Order: sequence, then C-alpha cells, then structure tokens
Amino acid sequence: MKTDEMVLLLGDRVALKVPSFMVPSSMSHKGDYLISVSEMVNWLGGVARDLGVEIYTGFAARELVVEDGAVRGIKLGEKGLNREGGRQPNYVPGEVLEARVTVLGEGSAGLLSEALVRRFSLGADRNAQVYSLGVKEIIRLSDQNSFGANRVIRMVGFPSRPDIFGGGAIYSMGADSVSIVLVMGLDWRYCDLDPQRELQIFKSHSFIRKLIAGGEVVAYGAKTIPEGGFYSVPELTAPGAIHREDQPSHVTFSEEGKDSGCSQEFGCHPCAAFCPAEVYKFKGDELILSPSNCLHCQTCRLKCPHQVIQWRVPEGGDGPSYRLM
Amino acid sequence: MQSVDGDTAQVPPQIAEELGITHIAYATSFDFPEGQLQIRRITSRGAEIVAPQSYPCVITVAKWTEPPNALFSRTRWAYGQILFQWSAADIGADDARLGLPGSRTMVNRIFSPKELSRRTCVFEKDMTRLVGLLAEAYARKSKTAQEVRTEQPYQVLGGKKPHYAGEVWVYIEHNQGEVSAVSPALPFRPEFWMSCCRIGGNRKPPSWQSYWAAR
Repeated sequence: MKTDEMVLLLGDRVALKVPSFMVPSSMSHKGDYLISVSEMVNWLGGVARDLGVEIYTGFAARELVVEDGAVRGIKLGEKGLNREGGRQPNYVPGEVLEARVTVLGEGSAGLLSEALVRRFSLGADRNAQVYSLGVKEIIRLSDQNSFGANRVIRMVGFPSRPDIFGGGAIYSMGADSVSIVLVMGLDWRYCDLDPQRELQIFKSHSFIRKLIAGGEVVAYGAKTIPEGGFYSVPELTAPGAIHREDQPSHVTFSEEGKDSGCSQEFGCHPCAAFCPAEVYKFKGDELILSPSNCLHCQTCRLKCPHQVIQWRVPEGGDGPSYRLM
Repeated sequence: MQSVDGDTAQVPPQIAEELGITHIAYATSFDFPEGQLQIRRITSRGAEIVAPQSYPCVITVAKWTEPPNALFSRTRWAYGQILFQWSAADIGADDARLGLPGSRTMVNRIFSPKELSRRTCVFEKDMTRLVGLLAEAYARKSKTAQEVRTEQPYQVLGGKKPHYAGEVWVYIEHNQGEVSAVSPALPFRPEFWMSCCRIGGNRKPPSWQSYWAAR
C-alpha cells in the first residue's frame, strides 16, 4: 500500500479527510502488503504440497476425538444423507483420523475450536470472544476510473449509527478492481438491520459513489471477524492439539434454524435481516430456509437473539467458492 | 459428470464390448440383497432393476442426484498411487480409429423428443360416458401409435454424407410391441446386430418384421 487515507463520512454527502498526523501509526497500513486470502491459500497450499504435506479437500471435520484427556484426532462428517437424515445409496460413514498432534485452522468462530476451548477450559480467565461482521464486494472499475493501485481509503461514520462499532474501507485489488467492505460489530441492537443493505447505503455516499462510478460488482462475500483482541485469545494448546486463530478454513459450514417467537418479541425476524445471504426468509411467520445461499460467515449462530439457530458441519465440498476475496 | 465422446455416452459400452465383458448403462443406484449385486437403471419407460450375468462388468451411471462419495481412506490411498498416462502412440493406436474420424456414430442434431401424449385423470361416474371416454382414448392411442410407426424415414441433415463404412451397432428398446422413442446406447447383444446389421457388408440389414420375429 502506497497510499493510506482515513476519511470521516458525515451524512450521505460530506467526507472529511483525517490528517495523517492524527491517525495512530498502528492504524496506518502504508507500506503494508494487501493480499487476497483466497489466492494466498491457494498459493500456500501449493507450497505445502511441495514440502510433502498432503491436503485433502471435501471432507468436513465434524467433532474432536478426545481420549484419556487428550485430543487424539478428529471425526469426519458422514456423507450421503438425505434431508431427513436417512442414508442414501451414496452414503459413506464419517471416519476417524488419528494424529499425534491435531492443528485446528478453522478461521473465525470455528466449531471444533470452540468445542476444544470448552472441553479443556482454555478460555478460563479470558474475556469472551466478540465478533463483527464484514460484508464485502469486489468491483471491477471502468476504464475511465482513476482509483489506481496500491491505495486504501478507510472510512468511519456513515452509514452506521453512532452506537454501532465498525467502519468501512475501499482498497485496490490490482489496477482495475477495488474491494469495498463494511464492518459492523455484531452487538448491534437493531432487529431489522440488514448488513447487505447497509453496504449498499454505504456505496451510495457521494464520496464513494464517485470512486466506483461505472464499476461492476464481480463478487461478494461475508465473514465474521474476531474483535475481542489479545485478552480474548484462549490458550492456544491443549493436550494433543494446537489451536491457531484466524486461519483460512478448509472446512465448510452450513446452518439451519427456526423462528422462536421473534416476530412477537421484536416485531420482525432478526435472522431475515442480519443474514447477509438471505438464507432466512419468512412468509408470514413461516420460515423458508435457503441453505444453499449460505456464505458460511456464521453470523446467524452468533447473532441469533435466542441462540436457537443450530450449526452443524455439512458434507465436505459445500460452501462459497471465493476466488478473489 | 460428462462424457468426452460428444455426449453420445458410447465410450464405456464400447470399451466393455471391446473387452468382452458385461455392461449396464444408466445406473442410478445399486443394492446388495443376499450378496447379489442389483442395479437400478433408467429406461425410457421408467426404471428397472437388473443384475449382471457375469463379472467383471462395466456399470455406467446416469447423471443423478446422488453423486458417489469417496471415503477419506480410499481418497488418500488413491492419491498415493503412481499413475501412468498413456498416449495414443504409447498403445500403438490407429489414428483413423480415434476421435471423431474413428467414431462409429455422428451427432447430427440434438433435440428433445416430442411428447406423444399427455396423461390426464378423469373421474367419470356415469358408466355410459366412461365407456365412451375409454373407447375414444383407445382410438386416439391407436391412431397415435400408427402415426409414430408411419413417420418418415430418417434423413441425414445438412447434406452430409456418411464418411464411415463398417459395423453399425444399434440398441433398440421396445415395449409391448412398440419401439421406444429413446434408444440411445450401444447394444447389450452386439452379437445379434454384428451378425445382421452391416452396411456395405455381405448380409442385408434385417427388416423390422424379422427383428420382431427374432425376438
């Protein structure tokens, strides 16, 4: 990054650049590298294979195998179950993979990592983890656009209300594309807040609208981000296991949920609003699930006010196929 | 899954015939009741359950909603195998018998078959009218079947000329005396057709009547 600017957005028209001397050095990314996580994972996978690491995709880790007080491996999920849980002709059982050391690299809010933390009390005396949600679009710019490469603009203010933690950013993805992202702390208290809608409102600010004029959205995604900081990091090792935070996940997720009287309590269905992928829709009070829409950001599991949305790892191979994110 | 033979799905049956082993096409599921392999396969009229008469056998699966799943252990085993890639030159193949020039079929056009009839449910309580409806339906069905049988013979489209002279294997499904509208594969009984269906060969192609008589 050669250019790093911070801008304060006031209302939907005013944009004030924050002088660089007022931006803490820890928040400046000038001179840093910006890497697509998807592309880095692909590259890293090639490096690992060259070093003799075996990588198998399409297998979902379902649960930890714990024996004699130590992690002995993981159990894979079954494949070939129908919607009711019955076995189809292509059913294969979940196998147990045993290892001397199990390294969990699930990314944000990993299910096995959380199970490990609970099982071995790794989070005792630590703060509870809190999360924000980032929704992002990649926009291919028009030929006339002069945003340029190696540039990032970070923004605070519009459209988030003052009581919502977060901010936005737009940064170069090469010379002809930009990423635009809006991050919001998941502790917002508005039952009908829709992150995707907020992102569109964010893009409608006159300052941003000019930056992306004539552009075309080529990809979008969503992801939760651990925000608890150092004091929320649990112990990173347990007998037989090492837990590495913030690793790109090779495990895919899906979710299913049900309404728990939210409409009576809140006057709306929060999951229909906070899910950035429209997995949860309602026809009156009838829930219509579209799991295939899922971006596997896990917002629903974390944000559901009644915590009734149950998560389980789907069959391996499912999930969003990010190539540019 | 998609075959690399121009979607004619002929490569697996052809290989099976070349190897002289049993072949079952359009499989959608299988079962092992009492240790006997049973294959459920698509037919033009629905589905049927068959069992291979001999082993080994080639089973080709239809594009279906239940893709095969591999066990992790078998996947890991497969990744550990050394694969040899053979080219046409390695096996000394005749170029004239490879690819499109060597194909025994040619795709002229791809189309969806016409719907011959639309089935409806009629709940008629009056016996006289019910008999009338039955008679009318029977006459209409007979007429439709007659129309199918008297369709124009197939014409090679686009002025193309056949560029192949040799054996032509045809797989015909029939049901209650009618030739199936969909007969897309190579034969399960090649010896019958090899003995009588030769273009440019010594024997005349059989008439339909002789085919039915042979059945």
